[in-house]
Amino acid sequence: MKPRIGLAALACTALLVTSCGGDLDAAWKVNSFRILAAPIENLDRVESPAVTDAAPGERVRLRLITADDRDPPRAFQALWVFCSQVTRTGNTFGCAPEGASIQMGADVTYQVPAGLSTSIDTQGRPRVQALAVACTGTLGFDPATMLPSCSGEGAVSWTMTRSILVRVPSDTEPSNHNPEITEVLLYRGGPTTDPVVLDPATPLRVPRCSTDPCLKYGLEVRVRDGSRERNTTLNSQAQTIVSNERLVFGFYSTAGTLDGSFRVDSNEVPDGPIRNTLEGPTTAATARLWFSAQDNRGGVTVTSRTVIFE
Amino acid sequence: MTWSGVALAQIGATTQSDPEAPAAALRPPRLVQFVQADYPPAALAQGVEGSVVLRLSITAEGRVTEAVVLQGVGQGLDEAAVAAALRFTFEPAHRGDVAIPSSIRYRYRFSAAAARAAAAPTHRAILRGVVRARGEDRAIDGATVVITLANGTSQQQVTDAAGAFRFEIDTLGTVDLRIRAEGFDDLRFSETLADRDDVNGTYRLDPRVEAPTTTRAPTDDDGVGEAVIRARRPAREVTRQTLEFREILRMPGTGGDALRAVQNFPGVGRAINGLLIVRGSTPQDTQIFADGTAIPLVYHFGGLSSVISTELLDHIDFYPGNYSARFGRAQGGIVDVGLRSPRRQGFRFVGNINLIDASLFAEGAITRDLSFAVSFRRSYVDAILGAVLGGIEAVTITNLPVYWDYQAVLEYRPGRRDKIRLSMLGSDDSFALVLNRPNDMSPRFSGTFSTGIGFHVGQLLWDHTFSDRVTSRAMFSMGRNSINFGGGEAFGLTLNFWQYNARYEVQYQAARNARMNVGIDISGGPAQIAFNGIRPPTEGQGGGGFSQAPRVATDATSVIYRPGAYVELELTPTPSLRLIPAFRVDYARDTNQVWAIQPRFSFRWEFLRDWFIKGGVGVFNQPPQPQQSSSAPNVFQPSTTTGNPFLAQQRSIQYGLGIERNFSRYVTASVEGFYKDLDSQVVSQASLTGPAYLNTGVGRIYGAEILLRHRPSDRFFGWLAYTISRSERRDAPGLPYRIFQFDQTHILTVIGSYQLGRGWEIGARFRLVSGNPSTPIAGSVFNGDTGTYTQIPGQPFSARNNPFHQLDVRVDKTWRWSRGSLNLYLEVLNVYNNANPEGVQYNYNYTQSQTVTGIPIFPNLGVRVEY
Repeated sequence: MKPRIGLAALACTALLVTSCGGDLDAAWKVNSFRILAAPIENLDRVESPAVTDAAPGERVRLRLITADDRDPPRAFQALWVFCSQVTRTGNTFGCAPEGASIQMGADVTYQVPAGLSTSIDTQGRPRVQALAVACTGTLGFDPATMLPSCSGEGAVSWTMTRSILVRVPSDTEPSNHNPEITEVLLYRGGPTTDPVVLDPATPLRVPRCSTDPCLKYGLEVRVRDGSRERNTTLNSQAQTIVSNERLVFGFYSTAGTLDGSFRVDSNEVPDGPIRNTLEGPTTAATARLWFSAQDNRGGVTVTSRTVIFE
Repeated sequence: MTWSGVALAQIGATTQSDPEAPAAALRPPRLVQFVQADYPPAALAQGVEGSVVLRLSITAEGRVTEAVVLQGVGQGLDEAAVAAALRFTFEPAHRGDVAIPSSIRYRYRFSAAAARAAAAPTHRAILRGVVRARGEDRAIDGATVVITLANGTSQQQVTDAAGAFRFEIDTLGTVDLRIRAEGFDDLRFSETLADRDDVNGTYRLDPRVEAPTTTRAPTDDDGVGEAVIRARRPAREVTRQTLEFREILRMPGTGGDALRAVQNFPGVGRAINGLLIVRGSTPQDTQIFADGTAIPLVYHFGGLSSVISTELLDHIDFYPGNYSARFGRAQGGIVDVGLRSPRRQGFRFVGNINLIDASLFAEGAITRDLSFAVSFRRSYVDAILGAVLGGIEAVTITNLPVYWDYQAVLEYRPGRRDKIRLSMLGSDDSFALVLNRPNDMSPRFSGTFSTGIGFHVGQLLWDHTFSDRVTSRAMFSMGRNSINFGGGEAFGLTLNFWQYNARYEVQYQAARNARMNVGIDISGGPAQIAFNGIRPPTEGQGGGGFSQAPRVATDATSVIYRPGAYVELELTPTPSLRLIPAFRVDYARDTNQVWAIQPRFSFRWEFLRDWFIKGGVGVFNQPPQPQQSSSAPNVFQPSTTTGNPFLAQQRSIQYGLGIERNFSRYVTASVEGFYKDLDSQVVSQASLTGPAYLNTGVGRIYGAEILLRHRPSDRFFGWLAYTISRSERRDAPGLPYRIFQFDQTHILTVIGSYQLGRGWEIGARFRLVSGNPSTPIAGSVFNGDTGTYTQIPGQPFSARNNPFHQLDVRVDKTWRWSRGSLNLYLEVLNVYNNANPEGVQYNYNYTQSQTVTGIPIFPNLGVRVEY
């Protein structure tokens, strides 16, 4: 097989195909504490699913949704920094001191200030930039340097950036809503068999891997009709393009093996099934699964299920 | 001492008659190669002069075997005359058609006045070289070399045992050479000589192919043979490196590809994805010209092969810095590729097949004055990668990677004063695949990915000789350069540049020791740029992935107009000293519209015999890339532009000083130090509200290059090249200097190739190069808007990969027959399978990493057939 490996290496080098990397942790594997998402919900516009943008003066709720390989999950502390006067974006963002505010907790409410004018995003629209830190140890924050710290034995921390789109009177585009995952199906032995709907509250028991090759289970995520909202974008010729949102689906698990972390709904078949495969572990284990759906305008939702491999 | 003004008189001829031979016309011997005697210094000082009468015995081959003094002068003149006469070459005496031995009386006259007057060299140029058998590479003894000067006069010499000849020439301009040798096709070639030129060439003759029938007898106008890669003493540049044909064909690790061989010169960094890195400059800073036309790329896919057939090359001149004023719009190096004239008699075909690609070349004469050459090459990479990637579920190949290129040349020579050439050059690389699953780092990085880059250009070239003092070259080319990149929904770039190049240069020999080159050089055309993606990050900062970076989109056409003009003087106040002051101006309408004024100066001085000191200083400007100076609005932020139309031209001030030593005909050594001071460098800006690019960057590059070279002899060629350098940049005032992305501290290349005999040749190349700089990842932040992680880069390029080292070996076996040759070669890259680090790959949240290594051991078997 050596020549095959050599040719593959040559191909990877020539193409710079990132799929060639084999020894690195995959994104689907939850083997520590991590942040999965932070949905935004407008509290002053009661709609279902929730609106993700807010006009000045309106309040939004932000929740940190985390995943942990430990059972029960570790407790964590969280801190939010909101910035209504962004001076720089990109890999890092800068904030004018007068535009900054701080809140503690994983579930916070923020009121968009009136008179917001200096904050911009890449398309020239106002945004409030947020930064959150989640820490499984003791969380500290130095207001002078605006740098958080996380201490404690074995403490794990992650920092997250998030932005809130601020509606202005000139906006004609309808508000964006979070996508909504309606159900998650599991196929025993592949998608040709009848699926089982995974219940959020009741773990499903299935056989572990005991054959060679292992039996693979199919997973399918379904979203509410209308989750792919119509929206307007510009192409490179500055022409207005009205299309459905494209959703990115994330698959995460604490056990077993998932075939890749992400799926993207196809533009060619936007309502096609969103599927992945899960291979059970060879030993008995409980797999906690998370499924996320994220649109390209900041809307996101996450749901979780449990499968017990016996 | 050399001198002239000697009158020679052939006094008469006596022949040894053969009583058995029938009576036939007797033709006396004729002197064809006169050798000037050394005037004895004492005799010259005393003004002793006169004529020495000799009797010379001449063989049937025309060589002088005996010189007897019949009437002497004394004071050492008799001995000097004898020594010179023994080196004469005659066309032998003939009885009928039969050459016979003869003896003659010869008067050798010494004139002290003439000798003093000729104390300084009278020649204005030297044309010398070595004649070799093509393929076997052996020297040809006894070949007749006839040159016809611009004034119509001819000279003739016979090569010595080393195949060498040397002419000292008074009449400048175009010189036609004709080389004849028994068993070989004649070779015809032209050289253009300027004052003080020292043209030193290697001329290879084809073994004669006996045609089954002939339609007419050959005439003097039948141009045949093969052009050569010739070596000319550096004239207008401080440093110029040239390659001989055998070096190119047999160089290990290059697949017989001439342009890939350039990568082994000092000053050239190890190529990254096939990009030329010259003296620590970014690849975009180095211009590639084909007969004066700028072409956008030099290598196919990551450097697998070059875009111009080696068979069609006349020369490759590589200038790492301080180059002539005729080159502009570049602040790095220059690669100047010259296409050769097609053969003017008969036809020739060359086929080359290896595991990577296959090519076919043909050339020949259409009429006496019209000849052609065509070449085509196509790759096999699609088949290899198709087999490999076919087994990877995550990837679907929709357009397997393929490259091809072509060249076609039609040359017309209406007379000795004109050469008109119409050329077509083209190249195309394309590849497309579908990533079936989104990438772990960035879900938006999925879908169809495609890349395409190519050019097609037509060129008209006219060389004209007005007189032996004035020559000109006019060139006009027009074509299309295109670049396409598609990266799913995240990224798209289309660049179509309908580019024209116009150049006119006049070379005027103003005086015996002064020559002037004046030229205009215009480049431009409409450029369409359609872009949809992220703004390129600041160098060394990383991108953070396509999902997070600010987005930019535009689709606009702008008209590029970049005229330039130059004047250059070549002054030779003494035969050993050459001074070249020059001045160039360049304008770019798509920038701040300020003329870039570029004074330049270089010199070369032979301060001792075979010892040279050389140096130069000059200003070199380069306009920004079209996308950097674009005034097209950003669709996502109409109040801003995608580029900055007010950018100034980038500038480098280059200094160079070196020393060269010719140890022998084959062995040379040189050491050169250089310093480049960069300013007005274009730097990408992170701010969303300001211009996308600013001229805030400065830089400094300094180092030294050593080259110890053994030019091709009968058995061996090779060299050792070592470069030590440091390339630094500062992106904005107040920031510290940092290592530049393409900095390579140590570059060592050792090459050798040896002919074992019986058609076998073996060669090896070893390279040891500092690892490429890299920017460490200090951490990452989860981006809740996209669900992915954004890297936090550390100090730009503060880390470095492990050193690169690799051994390549090449073995050739050649069979010859009367009509052609067959060459079978095996080239093994990375013989000991070293895992050379080429980069670092990270996991999805940048907490883990692993090294990406380069190509493993790779054998390439090929066949080259010539007919």
